[in-house]
Amino acid sequence: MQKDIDRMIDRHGDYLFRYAAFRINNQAMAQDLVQDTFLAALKSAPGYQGKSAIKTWLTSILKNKIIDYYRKTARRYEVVQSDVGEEDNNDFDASGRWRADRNPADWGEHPEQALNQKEFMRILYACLKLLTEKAAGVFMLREMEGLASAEICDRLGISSSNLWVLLYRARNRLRDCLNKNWFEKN
Amino acid sequence: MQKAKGFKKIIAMLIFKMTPSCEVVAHHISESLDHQLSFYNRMMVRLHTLACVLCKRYRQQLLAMEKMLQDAAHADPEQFITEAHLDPQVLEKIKEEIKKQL
Repeated sequence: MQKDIDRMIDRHGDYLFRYAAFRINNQAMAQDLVQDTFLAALKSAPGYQGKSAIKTWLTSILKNKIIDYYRKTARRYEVVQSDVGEEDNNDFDASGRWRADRNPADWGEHPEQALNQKEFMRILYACLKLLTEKAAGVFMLREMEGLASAEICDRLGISSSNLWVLLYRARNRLRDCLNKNWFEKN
Repeated sequence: MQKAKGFKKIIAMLIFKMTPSCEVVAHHISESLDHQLSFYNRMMVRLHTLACVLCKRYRQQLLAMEKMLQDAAHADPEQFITEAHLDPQVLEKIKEEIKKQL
């Protein structure tokens, strides 16, 4: 029994860690979530009906652990009114027009094709790590886990206007990072 | 040719006058990925992006990023996060912890 458990951890531990590390900006927490995932899986093992592959089953447990992690830290997501503004206005001049040095660049016809290149994926990963924790949380749930806005607000207990501000900031930061580190160079 | 250019310029100026600033439109564009905008705001975004090539690009960039992230979410992270490995010591710690708790 113990050998089977060890084998499962050896086989899937690394994958689960990468899955978590891609979604949260905290490596130590990613390790803890992997441990919690194995524990939860082993405790609910009798309920596992073998309908999906073990990897898929473990990933779905981990996904819920990640959402739980973001829910627990949700209080930090509230946008303080005084800090709305400074980060949002960087791209625009006083009249609300795009600043000449911040104009959205032309990324070509099919920028998403960059995904086929490993180097781009590494840059995408590095850029995601630059997001602030609160922005990264809602951004991951929205863009990567595909949760609807209402569900994110419900699970994290934040208002929709807060959510939209956080998503707007996260998108702009990621856009800026991808632009500087990939699209301007290619 | 010259007349057509002048006419286009006047139309663009009118649109800029009628619609909110690029900053407001950029917020609306981002929000449109998360919920349906009001009819009025949808029309403002459409009209504004007819005349403003930068806001149009901004929208295209956000849509491309959305697609990239959805695809990346389904990709096996092993393919590109090569530096993120679980330390063998951590693996052993997890095994020990699980042994204790089961």
